[in-house]
Amino acid sequence: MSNQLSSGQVGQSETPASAERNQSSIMRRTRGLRESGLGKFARATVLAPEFSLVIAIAIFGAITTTRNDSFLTYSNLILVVKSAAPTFVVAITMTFVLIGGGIDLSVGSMAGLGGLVTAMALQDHLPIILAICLGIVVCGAVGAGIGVVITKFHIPALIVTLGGLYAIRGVVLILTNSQQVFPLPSAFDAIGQSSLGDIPSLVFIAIGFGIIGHLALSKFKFGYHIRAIGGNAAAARAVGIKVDRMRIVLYALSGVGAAIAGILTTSFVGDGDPSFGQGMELSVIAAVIVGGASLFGAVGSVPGTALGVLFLALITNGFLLMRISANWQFVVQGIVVVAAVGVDQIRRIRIRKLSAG
Amino acid sequence: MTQPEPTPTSEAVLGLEHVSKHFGSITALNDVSLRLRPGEVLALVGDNGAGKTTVVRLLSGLFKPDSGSVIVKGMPTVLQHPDQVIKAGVATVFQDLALVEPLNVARNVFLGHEPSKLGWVRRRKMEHDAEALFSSLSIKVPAMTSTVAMLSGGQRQGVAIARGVLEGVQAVLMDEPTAALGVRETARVGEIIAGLRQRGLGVLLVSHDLDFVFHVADRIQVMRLGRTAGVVAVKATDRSQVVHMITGTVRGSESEAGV
Repeated sequence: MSNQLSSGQVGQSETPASAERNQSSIMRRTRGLRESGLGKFARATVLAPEFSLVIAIAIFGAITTTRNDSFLTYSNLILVVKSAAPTFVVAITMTFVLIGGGIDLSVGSMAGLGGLVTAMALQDHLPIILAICLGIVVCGAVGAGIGVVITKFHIPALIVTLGGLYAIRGVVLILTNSQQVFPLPSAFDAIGQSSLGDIPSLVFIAIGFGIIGHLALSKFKFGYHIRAIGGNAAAARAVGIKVDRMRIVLYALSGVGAAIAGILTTSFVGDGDPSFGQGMELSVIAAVIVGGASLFGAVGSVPGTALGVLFLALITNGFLLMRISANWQFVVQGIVVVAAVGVDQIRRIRIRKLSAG
Repeated sequence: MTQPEPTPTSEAVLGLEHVSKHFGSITALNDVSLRLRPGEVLALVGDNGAGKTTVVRLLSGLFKPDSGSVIVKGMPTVLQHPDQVIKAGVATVFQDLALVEPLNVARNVFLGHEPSKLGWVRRRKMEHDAEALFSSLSIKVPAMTSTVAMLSGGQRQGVAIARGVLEGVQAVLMDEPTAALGVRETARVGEIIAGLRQRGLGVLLVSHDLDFVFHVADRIQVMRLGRTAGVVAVKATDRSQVVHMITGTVRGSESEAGV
C-alpha cells in the first residue's frame, strides 16, 4: 500500500487529476479534502470526531423524551446548560492540559479553594472585582507551583496533582474551619443567579470563555505549541519551543479555570462551601475525554469538550427525569467514558492499518 | 552571529575543531575534527557507539563540547540553545525525525516558527508557503493538511527535511535519514539530498547504510570508538576500505585525503 501510494504521489509528470485518481480511496475516506462544495462539507462533518458525539446525544435525547416529555422543553434544557456552565469552564483548561500531554487531578480542590478565597475576601469587605481576582490569582499561583514541581523535579503530573488534590482540600478545610462561609453580598450572588432575557448569565460567561479557549487553541501560536509539546515534547524542544515554561503556564491556567468555576458556583449557590468541588476532577476529565481529547496528548478541541460536558450533564438530567436511580447514572457514565475512548481507539487503529497496510 | 562580521577562520559552513566530550567516565568523543563545506555531502559513518550521534548533538546545540570548539559559518561558536543553531542557518533532521505525528504536514514544517501576526497564526500563508517549499525541493506528500501519522516513511523524511530547509539554511544535518525506509523511498531521499547540494548547501549525513553513502556522498569521515579513523573521498576509496576503517583493521589517512 505505501509503495503504491508513494508512487502515486511521487511521479513528477502527473497531472493533479491523475494523481487524485491514484490516491487511494482510504486517504479520501479518512480525510475527505479533495471533494468540493457541499459534498466536502458534508464529508468533513461526518468524519469529525465530534459527529458521533452529536449522534449519541441525539439518541439519548430521543429515548429520554419518549419517557418524559418535559425533557425537551426550553426550561429543562436551559437548566442543564446552566448547571454545566461552571464545569465547562474548568473543562476548557483541562482540555489544554490534556492536549499538552499532562493531567490535573487537583482541579476539584482548586475550585473549592478559589470559591472560598473569594467568599472570605468578600466577607472581609473587599470589592467584588478584587475578591474575584484574588481567588483567581491564588489558584493560578498554586497551579504554577504544581507545574514547577512537575517540570523541575520530574515527578509525574498524576502524582503531583494527586498530592495537590489532598493538600489543597486540607488547606480549604483549615482556612474555613470546615464551616460554610455566608452570607455573601447580593451583588456577587447576582453573577450566578441573574439572567439576561431568558438566558442565565452563567451561560453567557461559559460561552465567552469557550470562544476565547477555542481561539487560543486553534488560531494562536500558543495553541499550536500546546499541541506540539503534547504530541512530541522532544521535537518541540528541538525547534526551540520552551516546553517547561509552557507546561507551567498550562497548570497555572488549569488553576485559573478551576478558580473561575469555583467562584461561579459559589455565586450561583450563594455561599462558600468547603466541600465544594469534591470529585469534580474526575467528572471533568471524563467529560473532556468523551469530548474527544486524548490522554496521550495533542488531540482534542474546545467544541468537543463542550459536547462532552453537555452529554454527561444530559445523562444526569435524563436519568432524573426517567426516575432511574442516581446510582445507575454512575454506571452509565462509566460505560460512556470507556466507550468514547474505545470508539476513538478503533478509529485510530483502522486509520493506521489502512495507511500502513 | 549578528556581531560585525569578522573574517571566517575556516571555509567550513559547519564543523568541529579538536572536540572532546565525556559523559562521566565515558569518553564519547576524543579530539575529533570535522569540516563540512558548502555544496558538499559529507557522510559520517561508524559502528554503534562510535560517537556519530554525539557529533550530531554537538552540532545541533543539544550538547556542549568539554574542549575544542564548534564551527558555524567558519567561526568558532558557543552554542547555548538549539534555537541559536537554527538561527545561524543549520538545520537538523533527527534520527527519530522529531515530527509531531498527530499534526499535519504544514504545522510540522513550521513547528515553532509559525508565521503569525500578534500570535494569530496565518494558516493559509503557512500552508501556501509549505506547498511552495515542497515543490521547490520536489518533495511530494499527499497534501499540506495530511496528518503526519498517515504518511509513509519516505514522506515523513521529506517533511523533516523540508522543515530543516526553511529559509536561510546553509547546512543540513541528517541523522540516519534512510533507517526504516524501503528501496524506492531511499532513492527518493537520495534525490532530495542531491537537490540540497545543488542549491549549495552542505549536507552532513550520518548513516549506517554504506550503499546509500557511496551513492550520495562526496567524502566519508569514519568514526571509531570516539575518534576519527579517517576521512576519504568517495572517488578515491571503496567499500572494503571503509568497512576496514569502521572495524579498525586498517587505519585510513588521517588527513583529508583526495580533496
